Amino acid sequence: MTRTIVTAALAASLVAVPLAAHHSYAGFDQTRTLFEARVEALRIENPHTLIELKARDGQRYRIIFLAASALGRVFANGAEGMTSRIHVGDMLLVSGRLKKGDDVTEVVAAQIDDAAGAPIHPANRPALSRPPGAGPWPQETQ
Amino acid sequence: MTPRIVAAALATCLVAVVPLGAHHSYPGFEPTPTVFEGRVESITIANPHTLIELRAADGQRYRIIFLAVSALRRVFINGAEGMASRIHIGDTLLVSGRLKRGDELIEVCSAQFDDAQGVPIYPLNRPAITKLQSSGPVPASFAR
Repeated sequence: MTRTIVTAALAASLVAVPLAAHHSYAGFDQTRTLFEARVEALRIENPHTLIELKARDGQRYRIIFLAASALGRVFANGAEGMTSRIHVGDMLLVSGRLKKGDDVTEVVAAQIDDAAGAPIHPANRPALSRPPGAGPWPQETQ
Repeated sequence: MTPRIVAAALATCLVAVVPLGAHHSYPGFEPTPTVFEGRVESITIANPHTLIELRAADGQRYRIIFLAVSALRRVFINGAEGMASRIHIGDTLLVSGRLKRGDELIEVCSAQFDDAQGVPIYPLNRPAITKLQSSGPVPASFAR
């Protein structure tokens, strides 16, 4: 009986390792960072949709978001709904775990609000608090 | 008077024609269009150009250099939203465009493309693109 349980546990661990490899976010900060930046590009694809942003100080960010096939969980009509909610030129407030690179900082586990403070993803939560001293949102678009 | 006109014409050329030519002359792209089929792998909505990346059945990768975000509204109702409702990841497109062959992928400009049913997506008001004789039916694995 014990041998069966051990075998089952080993088999389960073989399944669990690839899942962990995809979702362990190796190299990303353990704690969240809050930043605001303007959308430069939306890249809709699998395995992950990417949202490219640039902050006022020139820092570039890349949110590693849901797969194209999973966008329907968050936005009505999936990619169509996402592109109706997030536009190139929009300012977003983002909380996420960062991995700083030479050219771009990648972001996982992102929570995203629009410039009006309305949560975009995930939707059912309080609005993110803007960083102290962030000043008014820039008015210009694109 | 004549030198002044010539000078004005030259200035116009330098100010107006050269930058436009630099952006739209498509250096390095073949002068004649090529027809190919590919499955959409990604759509990047960005300026100065929206990009549509495809992969053909033989594995060849293509990147259509498409309109700017701000210009998508000329083609799709609701702009990027309309484009995302018309073209999906996994769709098979029939494309006619001018190619620039790179090591990893082929860039495509002046693209016309139809959906898998032969319905024109861009531009709209034209006959369907004639499928290549050798290409056969759309592979079943390409169907969404």
